[in-house]
Amino acid sequence: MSILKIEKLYKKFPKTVALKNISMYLTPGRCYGVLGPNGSGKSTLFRLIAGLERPSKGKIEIFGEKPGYETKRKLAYLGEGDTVYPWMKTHDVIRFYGSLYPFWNHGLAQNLVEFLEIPRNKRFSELSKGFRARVKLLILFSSGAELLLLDDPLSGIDPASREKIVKTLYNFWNPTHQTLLVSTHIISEIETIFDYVYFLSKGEIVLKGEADDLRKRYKKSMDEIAREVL
Amino acid sequence: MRFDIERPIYLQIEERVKGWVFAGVYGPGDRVPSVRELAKKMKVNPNTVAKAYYELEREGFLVTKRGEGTFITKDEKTIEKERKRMLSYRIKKFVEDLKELGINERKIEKIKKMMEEI
Amino acid sequence: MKEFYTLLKKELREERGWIIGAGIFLLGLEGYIFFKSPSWERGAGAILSILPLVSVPLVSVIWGYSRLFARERNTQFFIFSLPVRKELIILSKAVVLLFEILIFTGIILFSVFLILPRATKELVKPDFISFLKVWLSYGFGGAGFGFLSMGAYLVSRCIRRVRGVVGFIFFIISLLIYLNFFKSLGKFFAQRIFYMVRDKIKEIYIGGSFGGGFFIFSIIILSLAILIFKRRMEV
Repeated sequence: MSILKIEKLYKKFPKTVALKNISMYLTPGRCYGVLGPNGSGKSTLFRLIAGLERPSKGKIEIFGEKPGYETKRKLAYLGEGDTVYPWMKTHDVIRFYGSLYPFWNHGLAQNLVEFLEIPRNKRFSELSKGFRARVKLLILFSSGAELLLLDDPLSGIDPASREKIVKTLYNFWNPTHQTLLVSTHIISEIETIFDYVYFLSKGEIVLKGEADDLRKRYKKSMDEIAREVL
Repeated sequence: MRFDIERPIYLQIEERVKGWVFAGVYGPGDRVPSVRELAKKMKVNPNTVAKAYYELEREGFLVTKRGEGTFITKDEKTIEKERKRMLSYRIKKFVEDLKELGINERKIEKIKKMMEEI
Repeated sequence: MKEFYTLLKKELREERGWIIGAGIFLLGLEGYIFFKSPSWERGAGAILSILPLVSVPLVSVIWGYSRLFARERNTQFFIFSLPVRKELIILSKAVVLLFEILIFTGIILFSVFLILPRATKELVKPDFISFLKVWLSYGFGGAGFGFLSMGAYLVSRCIRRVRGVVGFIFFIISLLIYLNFFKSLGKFFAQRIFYMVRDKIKEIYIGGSFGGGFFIFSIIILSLAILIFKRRMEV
Protein backbone atom coordinates (compact mmCIF):
# COMPACT_ATOMS: atom_id res chain seq x y z
CA MET A 1 0.00 0.00 0.00
CA SER A 2 2.43 2.64 -1.12
CA ILE A 3 1.78 6.28 -1.56
CA LEU A 4 4.76 6.69 -3.88
CA LYS A 5 6.63 4.07 -5.79
CA ILE A 6 9.59 4.84 -7.99
CA GLU A 7 11.30 2.08 -9.95
CA LYS A 8 14.58 2.44 -11.82
CA LEU A 9 13.98 6.08 -12.65
CA TYR A 10 16.28 7.90 -15.04
CA LYS A 11 16.13 11.51 -16.12
CA LYS A 12 18.37 12.72 -18.90
CA PHE A 13 18.85 16.25 -20.16
CA PRO A 14 20.68 17.18 -23.35
CA LYS A 15 23.92 17.75 -21.50
CA THR A 16 23.62 15.78 -18.27
CA VAL A 17 22.07 12.80 -16.61
CA ALA A 18 20.24 14.23 -13.63
CA LEU A 19 18.95 11.00 -12.08
CA LYS A 20 20.25 7.45 -12.36
CA ASN A 21 18.50 4.28 -11.35
CA ILE A 22 16.40 5.81 -8.58
CA SER A 23 14.09 3.51 -6.68
CA MET A 24 11.97 4.65 -3.76
CA TYR A 25 9.05 3.29 -1.83
CA LEU A 26 7.01 5.48 0.47
CA THR A 27 4.33 4.29 2.86
CA PRO A 28 1.67 6.69 4.09
CA GLY A 29 1.96 8.71 7.28
CA ARG A 30 5.71 8.97 7.48
CA CYS A 31 8.27 11.69 6.94
CA TYR A 32 10.84 10.86 4.31
CA GLY A 33 14.01 12.81 3.69
CA VAL A 34 16.02 13.18 0.54
CA LEU A 35 19.38 14.45 1.70
CA GLY A 36 22.00 15.69 -0.66
CA PRO A 37 24.03 18.68 -1.79
CA ASN A 38 22.94 21.14 -4.45
CA GLY A 39 23.15 19.63 -7.88
CA SER A 40 22.54 16.11 -6.64
CA GLY A 41 19.24 15.91 -8.52
CA LYS A 42 16.86 16.52 -5.63
CA SER A 43 14.87 19.20 -7.40
CA THR A 44 14.64 17.18 -10.60
CA LEU A 45 13.33 14.25 -8.63
CA PHE A 46 10.68 16.38 -6.99
CA ARG A 47 9.61 17.93 -10.28
CA LEU A 48 9.16 14.45 -11.73
CA ILE A 49 7.00 13.41 -8.80
CA ALA A 50 4.98 16.63 -8.99
CA GLY A 51 4.30 15.92 -12.63
CA LEU A 52 6.24 18.83 -14.08
CA GLU A 53 8.62 16.69 -16.13
CA ARG A 54 8.50 13.30 -17.75
CA PRO A 55 10.90 10.50 -16.81
CA SER A 56 13.39 9.41 -19.45
CA LYS A 57 13.20 5.84 -18.23
CA GLY A 58 11.57 4.02 -15.37
CA LYS A 59 8.31 4.23 -13.49
CA ILE A 60 6.73 6.63 -11.04
CA GLU A 61 3.47 5.70 -9.37
CA ILE A 62 1.64 7.97 -6.97
CA PHE A 63 -1.35 6.36 -5.28
CA GLY A 64 -0.88 3.68 -7.90
CA GLU A 65 -1.17 6.07 -10.85
CA LYS A 66 1.21 7.82 -13.18
CA PRO A 67 1.79 11.51 -12.48
CA GLY A 68 -0.98 13.54 -14.06
CA TYR A 69 -4.18 15.38 -13.29
CA GLU A 70 -5.46 12.79 -10.80
CA THR A 71 -2.26 12.59 -8.79
CA LYS A 72 -1.97 16.37 -8.68
CA ARG A 73 -5.29 16.50 -6.87
CA LYS A 74 -3.78 14.59 -3.97
CA LEU A 75 -0.36 16.15 -3.74
CA ALA A 76 1.02 19.57 -3.01
CA TYR A 77 4.42 20.82 -4.08
CA LEU A 78 6.59 23.41 -2.42
CA GLY A 79 9.13 24.31 -5.10
CA GLU A 80 12.24 26.40 -5.10
CA GLY A 81 12.17 30.07 -5.84
CA ASP A 82 9.32 32.55 -5.95
CA THR A 83 6.42 30.37 -6.90
CA VAL A 84 3.64 32.79 -5.97
CA TYR A 85 2.60 35.71 -8.17
CA PRO A 86 4.47 38.80 -6.96
CA TRP A 87 1.43 41.09 -6.79
CA MET A 88 -0.60 38.83 -4.52
CA LYS A 89 -1.39 39.72 -0.95
CA THR A 90 -2.34 37.13 1.65
CA HIS A 91 -6.05 37.14 0.86
CA ASP A 92 -5.29 36.92 -2.88
CA VAL A 93 -3.09 33.90 -2.22
CA ILE A 94 -5.76 32.15 -0.17
CA ARG A 95 -8.54 32.95 -2.64
CA PHE A 96 -6.58 31.97 -5.73
CA TYR A 97 -4.75 28.85 -4.64
CA GLY A 98 -7.61 27.94 -2.32
CA SER A 99 -9.98 27.52 -5.22
CA LEU A 100 -7.51 25.47 -7.23
CA TYR A 101 -6.79 22.83 -4.61
CA PRO A 102 -9.81 20.53 -4.38
CA PHE A 103 -9.34 19.71 -0.69
CA TRP A 104 -8.32 23.13 0.56
CA ASN A 105 -8.87 23.73 4.27
CA HIS A 106 -9.79 27.36 4.74
CA GLY A 107 -9.86 27.32 8.54
CA LEU A 108 -6.42 25.80 8.66
CA ALA A 109 -5.18 28.44 6.23
CA GLN A 110 -6.33 31.19 8.59
CA ASN A 111 -4.67 29.45 11.52
CA LEU A 112 -1.45 29.17 9.60
CA VAL A 113 -1.46 32.86 8.67
CA GLU A 114 -1.54 33.59 12.41
CA PHE A 115 0.95 30.91 13.36
CA LEU A 116 3.41 31.89 10.65
CA GLU A 117 2.86 35.57 11.42
CA ILE A 118 2.38 36.42 7.76
CA PRO A 119 1.62 40.10 7.27
CA ARG A 120 -1.76 40.44 5.60
CA ASN A 121 -1.17 43.63 3.68
CA LYS A 122 2.11 43.07 1.97
CA ARG A 123 2.48 41.78 -1.54
CA PHE A 124 4.49 38.63 -2.07
CA SER A 125 7.27 40.55 -3.78
CA GLU A 126 7.50 42.90 -0.82
CA LEU A 127 8.20 40.09 1.62
CA SER A 128 11.64 38.99 2.75
CA LYS A 129 12.86 35.60 1.61
CA GLY A 130 11.97 34.04 4.93
CA PHE A 131 8.39 35.25 4.78
CA ARG A 132 7.99 34.16 1.19
CA ALA A 133 8.98 30.70 2.36
CA ARG A 134 6.30 30.93 5.03
CA VAL A 135 3.66 31.81 2.46
CA LYS A 136 4.67 28.81 0.39
CA LEU A 137 4.37 26.64 3.47
CA LEU A 138 0.95 28.12 4.19
CA ILE A 139 -0.26 27.04 0.77
CA LEU A 140 1.29 23.61 1.17
CA PHE A 141 -0.34 22.72 4.46
CA SER A 142 -3.70 24.31 3.67
CA SER A 143 -3.93 22.33 0.44
CA GLY A 144 -5.42 19.28 2.11
CA ALA A 145 -3.17 17.08 0.04
CA GLU A 146 -2.06 13.63 1.21
CA LEU A 147 1.45 13.79 -0.19
CA LEU A 148 3.40 16.92 0.61
CA LEU A 149 6.56 17.56 -1.35
CA LEU A 150 8.95 20.07 0.15
CA ASP A 151 11.89 20.87 -2.08
CA ASP A 152 14.58 22.53 0.02
CA PRO A 153 12.22 24.54 2.23
CA LEU A 154 15.02 25.91 4.41
CA SER A 155 17.84 26.96 2.14
CA GLY A 156 18.79 30.59 2.02
CA ILE A 157 16.29 31.43 4.75
CA ASP A 158 17.09 33.44 7.87
CA PRO A 159 17.26 31.53 11.17
CA ALA A 160 14.02 32.95 12.58
CA SER A 161 12.01 31.81 9.58
CA ARG A 162 13.81 28.47 9.51
CA GLU A 163 12.79 27.88 13.09
CA LYS A 164 9.20 28.84 12.30
CA ILE A 165 9.12 26.50 9.33
CA VAL A 166 10.49 23.58 11.33
CA LYS A 167 8.00 24.33 14.09
CA THR A 168 5.19 24.34 11.53
CA LEU A 169 6.26 20.93 10.28
CA TYR A 170 6.06 19.49 13.76
CA ASN A 171 2.83 21.19 14.69
CA PHE A 172 0.82 20.93 11.52
CA TRP A 173 1.94 17.67 9.98
CA ASN A 174 -0.74 15.09 10.63
CA PRO A 175 0.67 11.60 10.05
CA THR A 176 -2.77 10.05 9.86
CA HIS A 177 -3.59 12.04 6.74
CA GLN A 178 -0.30 13.24 5.35
CA THR A 179 3.00 11.91 4.10
CA LEU A 180 5.96 14.23 3.90
CA LEU A 181 8.82 14.07 1.44
CA VAL A 182 11.40 16.69 2.27
CA SER A 183 14.60 17.42 0.44
CA THR A 184 17.31 19.43 2.08
CA HIS A 185 21.01 19.90 2.46
CA ILE A 186 20.65 21.75 5.74
CA ILE A 187 20.19 18.65 7.82
CA SER A 188 20.96 19.36 11.44
CA GLU A 189 17.97 21.54 12.29
CA ILE A 190 15.46 19.18 10.91
CA GLU A 191 16.88 15.72 11.33
CA THR A 192 14.73 14.52 14.20
CA ILE A 193 11.66 14.68 11.99
CA PHE A 194 12.68 12.05 9.48
CA ASP A 195 11.46 8.50 9.72
CA TYR A 196 13.41 7.32 6.71
CA VAL A 197 16.10 8.97 4.63
CA TYR A 198 17.60 8.64 1.17
CA PHE A 199 21.04 10.06 0.57
CA LEU A 200 21.35 11.40 -2.95
CA SER A 201 24.65 12.17 -4.60
CA LYS A 202 25.19 13.05 -8.26
CA GLY A 203 21.81 11.67 -9.21
CA GLU A 204 22.15 8.33 -7.44
CA ILE A 205 20.96 6.99 -4.11
CA VAL A 206 24.11 6.12 -2.19
CA LEU A 207 22.55 5.19 1.14
CA LYS A 208 19.08 4.77 2.55
CA GLY A 209 17.44 3.56 5.72
CA GLU A 210 15.40 4.25 8.83
CA ALA A 211 16.83 7.29 10.54
CA ASP A 212 17.12 5.65 13.96
CA ASP A 213 18.60 2.49 12.45
CA LEU A 214 21.28 4.53 10.74
CA ARG A 215 22.03 6.30 13.99
CA LYS A 216 22.38 2.97 15.76
CA ARG A 217 24.51 1.50 13.01
CA TYR A 218 26.88 4.38 12.45
CA LYS A 219 26.62 5.94 15.91
CA LYS A 220 26.46 9.28 14.11
CA SER A 221 23.87 11.91 13.34
CA MET A 222 22.29 12.19 9.90
CA ASP A 223 24.29 15.31 9.37
CA GLU A 224 27.57 13.54 10.06
CA ILE A 225 26.63 10.53 7.98
CA ALA A 226 25.76 12.89 5.14
CA ARG A 227 29.15 14.51 5.34
CA GLU A 228 30.83 11.16 5.08
CA VAL A 229 28.67 9.67 2.43
CA LEU A 230 28.05 12.61 0.15
CA MET B 1 13.99 19.32 24.29
CA ARG B 2 17.38 18.49 23.04
CA PHE B 3 18.16 15.04 21.80
CA ASP B 4 21.46 13.39 21.12
CA ILE B 5 21.19 13.05 17.36
CA GLU B 6 23.88 10.42 17.33
CA ARG B 7 21.66 7.91 19.08
CA PRO B 8 18.30 6.55 18.05
CA ILE B 9 15.66 9.06 19.01
CA TYR B 10 13.03 6.54 19.99
CA LEU B 11 15.35 5.05 22.62
CA GLN B 12 15.88 8.48 24.10
CA ILE B 13 12.15 9.07 24.28
CA GLU B 14 11.75 5.77 26.07
CA GLU B 15 14.41 6.80 28.57
CA ARG B 16 12.73 10.15 29.12
CA VAL B 17 9.36 8.62 29.87
CA LYS B 18 10.92 6.16 32.28
CA GLY B 19 12.89 9.00 33.82
CA TRP B 20 9.66 10.88 34.52
CA VAL B 21 8.30 7.92 36.39
CA PHE B 22 11.44 7.44 38.45
CA ALA B 23 11.54 11.13 39.25
CA GLY B 24 7.97 11.01 40.42
CA VAL B 25 6.53 13.25 37.70
CA TYR B 26 4.18 10.43 36.82
CA GLY B 27 3.05 7.82 39.25
CA PRO B 28 1.83 4.27 38.62
CA GLY B 29 -1.48 4.35 36.79
CA ASP B 30 -1.13 8.00 35.72
CA ARG B 31 -2.08 9.02 32.25
CA VAL B 32 0.80 10.03 29.99
CA PRO B 33 0.47 12.47 27.09
CA SER B 34 -0.84 11.05 23.84
CA VAL B 35 1.60 10.38 21.03
CA ARG B 36 0.65 13.62 19.31
CA GLU B 37 0.82 15.71 22.46
CA LEU B 38 4.23 14.40 23.35
CA ALA B 39 5.49 14.80 19.81
CA LYS B 40 4.47 18.44 19.82
CA LYS B 41 6.01 19.04 23.22
CA MET B 42 9.28 17.34 22.42
CA LYS B 43 9.37 18.59 18.83
CA VAL B 44 9.82 15.18 17.34
CA ASN B 45 8.22 13.06 14.69
CA PRO B 46 5.02 11.50 16.09
CA ASN B 47 5.97 8.20 14.48
CA THR B 48 9.10 8.13 16.61
CA VAL B 49 7.04 8.73 19.75
CA ALA B 50 4.68 6.00 18.61
CA LYS B 51 7.60 3.63 18.26
CA ALA B 52 8.87 4.49 21.72
CA TYR B 53 5.42 3.97 23.21
CA TYR B 54 5.13 0.68 21.38
CA GLU B 55 8.40 -0.54 22.87
CA LEU B 56 7.39 0.66 26.34
CA GLU B 57 4.13 -1.23 26.02
CA ARG B 58 5.96 -4.35 25.01
CA GLU B 59 8.07 -4.08 28.12
CA GLY B 60 4.92 -3.64 30.15
CA PHE B 61 5.87 -0.17 31.27
CA LEU B 62 2.95 1.49 29.51
CA VAL B 63 -0.60 0.33 29.09
CA THR B 64 -2.99 1.62 26.43
CA LYS B 65 -6.70 1.56 27.13
CA ARG B 66 -8.79 1.94 24.02
CA GLY B 67 -10.61 5.22 24.02
CA GLU B 68 -9.07 6.39 27.28
CA GLY B 69 -5.41 6.94 26.52
CA THR B 70 -2.06 5.62 27.54
CA PHE B 71 -1.11 5.05 31.16
CA ILE B 72 1.88 4.12 33.26
CA THR B 73 1.48 0.55 34.46
CA LYS B 74 -0.04 0.13 37.91
CA ASP B 75 2.28 -2.80 38.48
CA GLU B 76 4.94 -1.35 40.77
CA LYS B 77 7.06 -4.46 40.40
CA THR B 78 7.55 -3.75 36.70
CA ILE B 79 8.59 -0.22 37.51
CA GLU B 80 11.01 -1.38 40.18
CA LYS B 81 12.49 -3.99 37.91
CA GLU B 82 13.06 -1.36 35.27
CA ARG B 83 14.52 1.04 37.77
CA LYS B 84 17.00 -1.58 38.93
CA ARG B 85 17.86 -2.44 35.35
CA MET B 86 18.57 1.17 34.47
CA LEU B 87 20.48 1.69 37.65
CA SER B 88 22.86 -1.20 37.01
CA TYR B 89 23.28 0.07 33.44
CA ARG B 90 24.13 3.52 34.70
CA ILE B 91 26.51 2.10 37.27
CA LYS B 92 28.24 0.10 34.60
CA LYS B 93 28.65 3.25 32.55
CA PHE B 94 29.90 5.13 35.57
CA VAL B 95 32.46 2.44 36.28
CA GLU B 96 33.65 2.66 32.68
CA ASP B 97 34.00 6.43 33.08
CA LEU B 98 36.03 5.92 36.24
CA LYS B 99 38.29 3.48 34.46
CA GLU B 100 38.80 6.05 31.73
CA LEU B 101 39.84 8.54 34.37
CA GLY B 102 42.47 6.09 35.52
CA ILE B 103 41.04 5.61 38.98
CA ASN B 104 42.59 2.51 40.54
CA GLU B 105 40.75 -0.83 40.35
CA ARG B 106 40.29 -1.42 44.05
CA LYS B 107 38.81 2.01 44.60
CA ILE B 108 36.38 1.34 41.78
CA GLU B 109 35.30 -1.94 43.39
CA LYS B 110 34.67 -0.13 46.67
CA ILE B 111 32.55 2.56 45.00
CA LYS B 112 30.67 -0.08 43.06
CA LYS B 113 29.83 -2.01 46.24
CA MET B 114 28.63 1.19 47.89
CA MET B 115 26.32 2.08 45.03
CA GLU B 116 24.84 -1.37 44.84
CA GLU B 117 23.86 -1.19 48.46
CA ILE B 118 21.77 1.92 47.88
CA MET C 1 -15.63 25.37 -14.03
CA LYS C 2 -14.86 27.14 -10.80
CA GLU C 3 -11.19 26.83 -11.68
CA PHE C 4 -11.70 28.63 -14.97
CA TYR C 5 -13.43 31.47 -13.20
CA THR C 6 -10.56 31.72 -10.70
CA LEU C 7 -7.98 31.78 -13.49
CA LEU C 8 -9.97 34.38 -15.38
CA LYS C 9 -10.18 36.65 -12.35
CA LYS C 10 -6.45 36.33 -11.85
CA GLU C 11 -5.68 37.15 -15.50
CA LEU C 12 -7.93 40.21 -15.37
CA ARG C 13 -6.32 41.35 -12.16
CA GLU C 14 -2.88 41.04 -13.75
CA GLU C 15 -3.91 42.84 -16.92
CA ARG C 16 -5.76 45.57 -15.06
CA GLY C 17 -2.86 47.98 -15.27
CA TRP C 18 -2.31 47.44 -18.98
CA ILE C 19 -5.97 47.77 -19.81
CA ILE C 20 -6.34 51.02 -17.94
CA GLY C 21 -3.05 52.41 -19.22
CA ALA C 22 -3.66 51.57 -22.84
CA GLY C 23 -7.25 52.71 -22.57
CA ILE C 24 -6.25 56.10 -21.27
CA PHE C 25 -3.59 56.40 -23.94
CA LEU C 26 -6.07 55.61 -26.69
CA LEU C 27 -8.66 57.98 -25.29
CA GLY C 28 -6.04 60.69 -25.09
CA LEU C 29 -4.90 60.10 -28.64
CA GLU C 30 -8.36 60.01 -30.10
CA GLY C 31 -9.42 62.95 -27.98
CA TYR C 32 -6.55 64.98 -29.32
CA ILE C 33 -7.48 64.11 -32.89
CA PHE C 34 -11.10 64.92 -32.14
CA PHE C 35 -10.30 68.42 -31.05
CA LYS C 36 -7.73 69.16 -33.69
CA SER C 37 -9.45 67.59 -36.67
CA PRO C 38 -11.62 70.53 -37.80
CA SER C 39 -8.46 72.54 -38.39
CA TRP C 40 -6.79 69.84 -40.44
CA GLU C 41 -7.22 69.07 -44.08
CA ARG C 42 -10.40 67.37 -45.01
CA GLY C 43 -10.35 63.69 -44.22
CA ALA C 44 -6.96 63.81 -42.51
CA GLY C 45 -8.53 63.58 -39.11
CA ALA C 46 -10.57 60.60 -40.17
CA ILE C 47 -7.50 58.78 -41.43
CA LEU C 48 -5.47 59.53 -38.34
CA SER C 49 -8.22 58.36 -36.06
CA ILE C 50 -8.45 55.07 -37.91
CA LEU C 51 -4.73 54.41 -37.81
CA PRO C 52 -4.67 52.91 -34.29
CA LEU C 53 -7.07 50.31 -35.64
CA VAL C 54 -4.36 49.06 -37.96
CA SER C 55 -2.19 48.34 -35.00
CA VAL C 56 -4.83 46.20 -33.32
CA PRO C 57 -4.02 42.99 -35.18
CA LEU C 58 -0.33 43.58 -34.57
CA VAL C 59 -0.81 44.26 -30.88
CA SER C 60 -3.02 41.22 -30.71
CA VAL C 61 -0.37 39.00 -32.26
CA ILE C 62 2.38 40.23 -29.96
CA TRP C 63 0.19 40.05 -26.89
CA GLY C 64 -1.04 36.57 -27.69
CA TYR C 65 2.44 35.20 -28.17
CA SER C 66 4.05 36.87 -25.19
CA ARG C 67 1.28 36.19 -22.72
CA LEU C 68 1.99 32.48 -22.92
CA PHE C 69 5.62 33.04 -22.05
CA ALA C 70 6.59 32.23 -18.55
CA ARG C 71 6.97 35.70 -17.19
CA GLU C 72 8.30 34.19 -14.05
CA ARG C 73 9.28 30.59 -14.59
CA ASN C 74 8.73 29.56 -11.00
CA THR C 75 5.12 30.75 -10.83
CA GLN C 76 4.36 28.85 -13.99
CA PHE C 77 5.98 25.68 -12.67
CA PHE C 78 3.98 25.92 -9.50
CA ILE C 79 0.66 26.35 -11.29
CA PHE C 80 1.40 23.26 -13.33
CA SER C 81 1.84 21.26 -10.16
CA LEU C 82 -1.78 22.01 -9.30
CA PRO C 83 -4.70 19.97 -10.61
CA VAL C 84 -5.56 22.54 -13.26
CA ARG C 85 -5.94 21.53 -16.85
CA LYS C 86 -3.64 23.46 -19.14
CA GLU C 87 -6.51 24.11 -21.57
CA LEU C 88 -8.23 26.20 -18.91
CA ILE C 89 -5.14 28.28 -18.36
CA ILE C 90 -4.79 28.95 -22.08
CA LEU C 91 -8.49 29.57 -22.44
CA SER C 92 -8.53 32.11 -19.64
CA LYS C 93 -5.72 34.01 -21.31
CA ALA C 94 -7.54 33.87 -24.64
CA VAL C 95 -10.72 35.26 -23.11
CA VAL C 96 -8.83 38.14 -21.53
CA LEU C 97 -7.13 38.83 -24.85
CA LEU C 98 -10.52 39.02 -26.54
CA PHE C 99 -11.78 41.28 -23.81
CA GLU C 100 -8.84 43.65 -24.17
CA ILE C 101 -9.04 43.80 -27.95
CA LEU C 102 -12.76 44.51 -27.77
CA ILE C 103 -12.15 47.38 -25.37
CA PHE C 104 -9.42 48.90 -27.49
CA THR C 105 -11.28 48.60 -30.78
CA GLY C 106 -14.38 49.89 -29.06
CA ILE C 107 -12.60 53.01 -27.93
CA ILE C 108 -11.02 53.55 -31.34
CA LEU C 109 -14.17 52.98 -33.36
CA PHE C 110 -16.32 55.02 -31.04
CA SER C 111 -13.93 57.92 -31.48
CA VAL C 112 -13.90 57.39 -35.24
CA PHE C 113 -17.66 57.62 -35.38
CA LEU C 114 -17.48 60.88 -33.47
CA ILE C 115 -14.54 62.27 -35.39
CA LEU C 116 -15.80 61.41 -38.87
CA PRO C 117 -18.43 64.14 -39.11
CA ARG C 118 -16.03 66.74 -37.72
CA ALA C 119 -13.14 65.68 -39.90
CA THR C 120 -14.96 65.31 -43.18
CA LYS C 121 -17.38 68.14 -42.52
CA GLU C 122 -20.17 66.03 -43.85
CA LEU C 123 -23.36 65.07 -42.19
CA VAL C 124 -23.02 61.55 -41.03
CA LYS C 125 -25.53 59.96 -38.80
CA PRO C 126 -23.75 57.21 -36.98
CA ASP C 127 -26.29 54.70 -35.93
CA PHE C 128 -25.87 52.26 -33.16
CA ILE C 129 -26.39 49.06 -35.12
CA SER C 130 -23.71 49.84 -37.66
CA PHE C 131 -21.35 50.82 -34.91
CA LEU C 132 -22.03 47.55 -33.15
CA LYS C 133 -21.45 45.52 -36.30
CA VAL C 134 -18.19 47.21 -37.12
CA TRP C 135 -17.00 47.04 -33.55
CA LEU C 136 -17.71 43.36 -33.10
CA SER C 137 -16.24 42.56 -36.47
CA TYR C 138 -13.01 44.39 -35.76
CA GLY C 139 -12.86 43.21 -32.18
CA PHE C 140 -13.35 39.53 -32.83
CA GLY C 141 -11.34 39.66 -36.01
CA GLY C 142 -8.48 41.38 -34.23
CA ALA C 143 -8.62 38.87 -31.40
CA GLY C 144 -8.49 36.16 -34.02
CA PHE C 145 -4.98 37.29 -34.85
CA GLY C 146 -4.06 36.92 -31.23
CA PHE C 147 -5.49 33.43 -31.07
CA LEU C 148 -3.53 32.38 -34.12
CA SER C 149 -0.46 33.79 -32.45
CA MET C 150 -1.15 31.81 -29.27
CA GLY C 151 -1.57 28.69 -31.35
CA ALA C 152 1.75 29.44 -33.03
CA TYR C 153 3.42 29.73 -29.66
CA LEU C 154 2.03 26.41 -28.45
CA VAL C 155 3.12 24.61 -31.57
CA SER C 156 6.57 26.16 -31.36
CA ARG C 157 6.89 24.85 -27.79
CA CYS C 158 6.60 21.31 -29.09
CA ILE C 159 9.85 21.73 -30.99
CA ARG C 160 13.17 21.88 -29.30
CA ARG C 161 15.06 24.13 -31.67
CA VAL C 162 14.31 27.04 -34.04
CA ARG C 163 11.13 27.61 -32.10
CA GLY C 164 10.53 31.16 -33.29
CA VAL C 165 10.78 30.14 -36.92
CA VAL C 166 8.37 27.24 -36.50
CA GLY C 167 5.88 29.48 -34.73
CA PHE C 168 6.12 32.10 -37.42
CA ILE C 169 5.63 29.56 -40.20
CA PHE C 170 2.61 28.13 -38.42
CA PHE C 171 1.12 31.60 -38.15
CA ILE C 172 1.68 32.48 -41.78
CA ILE C 173 0.35 29.15 -43.00
CA SER C 174 -2.82 29.57 -40.96
CA LEU C 175 -3.37 33.03 -42.40
CA LEU C 176 -2.80 31.79 -45.94
CA ILE C 177 -5.22 28.94 -45.41
CA TYR C 178 -7.85 31.38 -44.28
CA LEU C 179 -7.31 33.92 -47.03
CA ASN C 180 -7.34 31.19 -49.63
CA PHE C 181 -10.54 29.62 -48.48
CA PHE C 182 -12.24 32.90 -48.01
CA LYS C 183 -10.89 34.82 -50.96
CA SER C 184 -13.87 37.09 -51.32
CA LEU C 185 -13.76 38.09 -47.71
CA GLY C 186 -10.06 38.63 -48.06
CA LYS C 187 -10.87 41.34 -50.55
CA PHE C 188 -13.07 43.11 -48.05
CA PHE C 189 -10.30 42.88 -45.53
CA ALA C 190 -7.91 44.64 -47.89
CA GLN C 191 -10.46 47.31 -48.69
CA ARG C 192 -11.15 47.96 -45.05
CA ILE C 193 -7.65 49.02 -44.25
CA PHE C 194 -7.96 51.83 -46.70
CA TYR C 195 -11.42 53.18 -46.11
CA MET C 196 -11.44 56.92 -45.97
CA VAL C 197 -14.83 58.38 -46.33
CA ARG C 198 -18.12 57.58 -44.77
CA ASP C 199 -19.73 55.79 -47.74
CA LYS C 200 -17.09 53.17 -47.39
CA ILE C 201 -18.55 52.40 -44.01
CA LYS C 202 -21.18 50.39 -45.83
CA GLU C 203 -18.54 48.08 -47.14
CA ILE C 204 -17.32 47.60 -43.64
CA TYR C 205 -20.78 46.47 -42.56
CA ILE C 206 -20.59 43.75 -45.13
CA GLY C 207 -17.10 42.90 -44.10
CA GLY C 208 -18.46 42.52 -40.61
CA SER C 209 -19.04 38.88 -41.31
CA PHE C 210 -15.34 38.62 -42.08
CA GLY C 211 -14.43 39.38 -38.52
CA GLY C 212 -16.73 36.70 -37.20
CA GLY C 213 -15.54 34.12 -39.71
CA PHE C 214 -11.90 34.79 -38.99
CA PHE C 215 -12.55 34.58 -35.28
CA ILE C 216 -14.15 31.17 -35.56
CA PHE C 217 -11.33 30.01 -37.79
CA SER C 218 -8.76 31.18 -35.25
CA ILE C 219 -10.54 29.29 -32.48
CA ILE C 220 -10.35 26.13 -34.53
CA ILE C 221 -6.66 26.64 -35.14
CA LEU C 222 -6.00 27.42 -31.47
CA SER C 223 -7.88 24.32 -30.36
CA LEU C 224 -5.81 22.27 -32.79
CA ALA C 225 -2.64 23.78 -31.43
CA ILE C 226 -3.74 22.99 -27.86
CA LEU C 227 -4.35 19.37 -28.84
CA ILE C 228 -0.93 19.08 -30.43
CA PHE C 229 0.66 20.77 -27.45
CA LYS C 230 -1.06 18.47 -24.97
CA ARG C 231 -0.02 15.33 -26.80
CA ARG C 232 3.59 16.40 -26.92
CA MET C 233 4.11 18.27 -23.70
CA GLU C 234 1.50 17.23 -21.21
CA VAL C 235 2.30 15.54 -17.97
